Amino acid sequence: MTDAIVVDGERFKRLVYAGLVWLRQHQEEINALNVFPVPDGDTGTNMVLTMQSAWDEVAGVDENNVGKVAHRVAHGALMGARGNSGVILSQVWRGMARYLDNKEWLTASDLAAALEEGVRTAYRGVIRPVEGTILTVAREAAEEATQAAARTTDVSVVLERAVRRAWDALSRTPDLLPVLAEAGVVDAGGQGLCVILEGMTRALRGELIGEPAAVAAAISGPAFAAEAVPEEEYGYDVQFLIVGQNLDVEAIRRDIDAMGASALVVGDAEIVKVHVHVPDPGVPLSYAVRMGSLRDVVVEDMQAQYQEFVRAREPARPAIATAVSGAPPREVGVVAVAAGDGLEKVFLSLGASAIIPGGQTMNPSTEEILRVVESIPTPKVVILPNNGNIILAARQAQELSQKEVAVVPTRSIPQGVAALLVFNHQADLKENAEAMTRAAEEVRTGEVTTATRDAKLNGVTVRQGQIIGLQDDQLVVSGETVDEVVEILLERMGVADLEIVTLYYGAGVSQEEAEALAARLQEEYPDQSFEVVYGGQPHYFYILSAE
Amino acid sequence: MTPRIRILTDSTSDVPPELARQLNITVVPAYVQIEGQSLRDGEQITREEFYRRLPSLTKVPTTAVPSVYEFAAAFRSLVGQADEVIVIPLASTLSSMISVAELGAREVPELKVHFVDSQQLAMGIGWQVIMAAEAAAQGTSAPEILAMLEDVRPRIRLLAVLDTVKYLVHSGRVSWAKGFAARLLDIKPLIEFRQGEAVLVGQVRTRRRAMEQLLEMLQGLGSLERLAVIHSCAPDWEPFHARVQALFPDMEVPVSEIGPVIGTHIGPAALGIAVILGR
Repeated sequence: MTDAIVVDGERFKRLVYAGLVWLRQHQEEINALNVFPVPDGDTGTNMVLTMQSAWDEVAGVDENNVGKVAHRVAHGALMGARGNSGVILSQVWRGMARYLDNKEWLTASDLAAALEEGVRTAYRGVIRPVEGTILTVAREAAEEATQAAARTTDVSVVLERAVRRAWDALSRTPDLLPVLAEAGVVDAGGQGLCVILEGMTRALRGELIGEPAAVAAAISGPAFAAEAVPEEEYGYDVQFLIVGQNLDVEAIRRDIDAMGASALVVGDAEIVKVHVHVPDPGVPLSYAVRMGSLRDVVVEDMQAQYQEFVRAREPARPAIATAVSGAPPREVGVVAVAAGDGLEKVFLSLGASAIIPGGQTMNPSTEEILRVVESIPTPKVVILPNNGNIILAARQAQELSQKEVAVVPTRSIPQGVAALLVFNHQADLKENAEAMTRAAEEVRTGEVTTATRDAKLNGVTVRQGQIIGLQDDQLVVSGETVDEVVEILLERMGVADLEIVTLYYGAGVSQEEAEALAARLQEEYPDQSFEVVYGGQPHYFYILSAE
Repeated sequence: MTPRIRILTDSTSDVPPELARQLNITVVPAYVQIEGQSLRDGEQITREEFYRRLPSLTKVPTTAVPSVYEFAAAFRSLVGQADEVIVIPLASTLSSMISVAELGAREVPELKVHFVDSQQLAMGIGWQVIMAAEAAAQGTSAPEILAMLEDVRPRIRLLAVLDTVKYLVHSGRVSWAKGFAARLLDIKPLIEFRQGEAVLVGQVRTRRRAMEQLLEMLQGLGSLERLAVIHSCAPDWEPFHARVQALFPDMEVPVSEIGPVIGTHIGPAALGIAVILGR
């Protein structure tokens, strides 16, 4: 091949779109690759929502500069990143955008170099990179692209070879990560990346990618739901960019903040992104037009927000829970991720400033976390992700926030509660983060739920629909009844040597059932104290805390 | 001839009875009213018995200061053995103890009586009483003892973990306790008494962690002049005492049981330390 085949900005956009569409069509397959047979933040869904956010950022933009398109894609992916795989994907985009900065078009060697930069950024973005994941797949794809680009100037050839290598790397993920081998699956995030790259390749080859009507609707913008939506205080979700000179981000944030709720204002002296919920969209718009020129104005009524929750299969809730009223403003505040009205109340009663709705079944995006972080009155914020798959998104929010933020990497609700208990209003952010991290490690977590598929893990055989128990994220027991699984799980957790067990009962368990179980456990363990607390969490019958 | 000095306090000072005997300290018992009965602290009801009964009482026990007459009798018993008496009762901000003691002293003009506002409770008073008695035994003059107490008082620290916040809520004396009780989990507060006020300094869920945190806080206090373990019939005071002793092997660490007057407000199984910081 002698002709240099390049990709311009418009075409690059179409590739991104194709990646999203292809991913959407394979979403359920990817969701099914969860290692643990538990109702969990589905990797396929998380990556689709991340890509959707990336696409939304470029969809309506008339831009033919590859670098500029890539920056927008990266920004959209960053804000919409959900779950660890979504965050890593957004980091790949970020690195690619950095390399492509201001390039008018993309050549074969650009693609390879951009992928390499994307991989480097993604590896830097995680504290302990784990091989056998999306990281490995991305790294090998980039290596292959580099080798290919040395011999051809055809972008499509480079991309095709990268895709082939990506699938190959994916097939080897179980060799690198034993837990995958045991579960008999390949890495879900890795597969998501393969699918995105493949979608892009197909589009580059000119193949038509089938697009079901539902996908088209989702991509062309959220459709209005016919169902009734809960009323919210503010009617419109307004987003726009202000482009100008010497923009005062602080002042704009202050002013926008005074106009409505959930205000998010980020940017620099040349460009500022504004996102706010207001009763009248005209107010922020006529304010902003005095600052500079407006771009990408999006005004949606709140049904659009609702739609996003529907897509995430979670009941709609206000994004920001009410802060503890009457408390004096403090220096450091805490925001916690929790699903379930009971768990929300637990965190608020212990002094959390606000709740980010989400958890096992709905991983909040970077932007959702960021919005809550920015919404509370304190200049310093501790984030409690309370789930292993939310930690990276929380770290991204930390990076993006104008506030001083610390992420205490709590992996469960009990860890979050233990961390919050040692929070000290008088101590500074760093001291608090350290003490909270230590405290989180001292509690043992048990979770009881229904198996979402057949599995054999850690020597435990599980049939779909059986009740299963996890200790600190590891599957340890399966059984026929909830109570039986709780009992065995507590034994495995070593409760006999501990003092206090808290049973947070979920939406599917009645108070009577929970109390009857606790009474039986009390007989079995006369020296321990048992505490029954309403959690209201979905899917999980019980979350157990033992210390 | 140097005047003979004796120290008088009330039973809320929680001076361990044996130390009180050794140092010739006069302790006037306060009263606790349980189910219509008025009982003299330490004489008509032991502390152990009080804490055993406390959880099952339907009515919160009330407490009362001794009568003027009882103080007068206590002073009178010292006539002939002492020329001067230093009185160190419960903080004036918490109780009328000091005024009642003053009225009692007026009945006994034979003695020269000095009144000291301890500004403290429990062993926070106890350490002042003990140090004053030790100084008196060594022939220190009253003005010197009073000056010494002024110097010691700002260096007193009282830290304790309560087994439950329930009693503090019922007592209604601590503003934060109500909010604390609204928490949806069973949490043990770590408190510090400052100027007779219970300040929340931490919160834990287990006694094991409470003990660790107390020990950590203890180590953070720097050099110590005095150190005591205090408790309200805590079942685990002995292992705690052993660990405190191990941290400070060269210090004598007495154990003081918290009396019913304070115990009514904090409940059984509280555990803590009372120290005087080094200079």
